Amino acid sequence: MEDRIHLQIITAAGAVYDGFVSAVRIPLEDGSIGIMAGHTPLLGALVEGVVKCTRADGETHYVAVTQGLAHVAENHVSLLVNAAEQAESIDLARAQAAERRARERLKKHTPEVDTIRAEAALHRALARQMAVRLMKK
Amino acid sequence: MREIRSRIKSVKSTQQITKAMKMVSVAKLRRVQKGTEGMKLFSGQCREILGYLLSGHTDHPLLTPRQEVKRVVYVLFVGNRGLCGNYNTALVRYMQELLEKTDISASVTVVGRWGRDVLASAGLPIRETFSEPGDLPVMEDAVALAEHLKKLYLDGEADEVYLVYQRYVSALHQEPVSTRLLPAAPPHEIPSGELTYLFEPSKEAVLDSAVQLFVNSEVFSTLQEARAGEQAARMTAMTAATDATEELIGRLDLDLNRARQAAITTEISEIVGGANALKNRDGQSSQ
Repeated sequence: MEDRIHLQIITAAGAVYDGFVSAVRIPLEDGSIGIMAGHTPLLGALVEGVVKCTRADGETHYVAVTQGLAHVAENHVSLLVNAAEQAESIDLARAQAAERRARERLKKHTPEVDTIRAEAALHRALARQMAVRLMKK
Repeated sequence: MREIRSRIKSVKSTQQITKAMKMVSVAKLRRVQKGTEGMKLFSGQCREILGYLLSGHTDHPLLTPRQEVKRVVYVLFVGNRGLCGNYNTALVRYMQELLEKTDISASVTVVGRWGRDVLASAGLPIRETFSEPGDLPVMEDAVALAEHLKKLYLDGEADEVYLVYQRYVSALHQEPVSTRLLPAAPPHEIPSGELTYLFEPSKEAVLDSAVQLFVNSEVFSTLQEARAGEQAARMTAMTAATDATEELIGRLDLDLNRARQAAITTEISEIVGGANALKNRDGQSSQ
C-alpha cells in the first residue's frame, strides 16, 4: 500500500498547497486530528487553525486556514477553505495588527460591531501568527 | 488652420487615453480570467462532496425554500467605473424590468462603485452599497458579502436572495442575468464510489460547512464574472473609441491639408499677380 497521501489545500482562488505528504494534521471542531496513509474515509468540518504537513523527507510546512471542509478518501486529502496562507508568506506584523483591530472592535461592543465577524477575524489573525511561530521553531 | 491643428492635437491626446485604458483592461481581464481557473478545481471538489452529503435525507436552513415569499433582496453587481459601453446601464435597465414584473416587496443591494447618482435617480429601492471589492476580487470581500446576505436571509429580512449581474458569455458579449443564491440549490452529482464516510464532528456540522462554503464560492465566482465582464466591456468600448479617434484624425488631417493647399494656392496666385503687375509696369516705363 502506498504510504504517502496527496494533500490539496484549495480555495476558490486556486490551490494553495498541492503535494505529497506522509502525514497531515488538521484542525477540526473538537480538536485537531492527524491523518496518515490508509485513513478511513472522512468528511470533517474545519475550523480556523494551522494545518501541519509533514513530508516523507522530514520537512514540514505550516498553512493557516479558515473554516471549511476536510475530505479524506483513498490517500487523498483535500481541504476546501475560504482562505489559506502558507506560513512562509504570512506577514507577521500584519497578522498582529489584525489581531489588535479585532480585539478593539470586540471591546467596544457597540451595536454596529458585528461580533461574529470580529471574532472570526480574531481567530484568523491568531491562526496566522501560530503558523509563523510553528514554522520558526 | 490653427484651429484644425489644435483639434487634431486634442483628439490625439484623447486617443492616447483610450488606448491606455484599453491596454489596462486587457491586462486586468487576463488576470481576472486566470483567477477563474482556480475556481474550477474548487467547485468540482465542492460539488462532489455536496453530492455525497445531499444524497441522503438533508435539512439545512439555507437550502430549504420558504413556503411564502414576501420579501426579496436583489444583489446588483455593477462595475467599479464607467467608460465601458452600456455595461452598467443595460444592467440597471434589466434590474428595473425585473422589479416591474414582480409585486413582491423587493430591495436592492448594490455591489460596485459605479454611478451612485445614476442609481439613486433610477428609482431602485436601494438598501445598501458595498464598494469594497476592487477590480481583482479577493475571497475576503466575497465572504464578507456572503455572510451579510446569509444573515439577511436567516433573520427573515429576505425570503429569497438573487444575484443580478452581467454574465460573461465572451469577451465581446455579456448579458444580464439573475440567479438565485438563497435558498441555495447546489448542483450535485450522485456519487459513484461506494465509500462510507466518518463524519467529524457530525453530519450536520459537515453539511453546514459545505453549504456555507458553497454559498461563499457562488458569491465569489459571480463577483469574478462581473469584474471580467466589466473589463471586457471596457476593452470593447475603448477599442471602438480608439478606432473612432483614428477616423476623426484622418478626416481632420485631410481638412488641414486642404486648408493648407488653399492657402498656398492663394499665396502663389498673389505672388504671380504681383510679379505680373510689376513686370507690366516695368515694361511700360522702359518703353
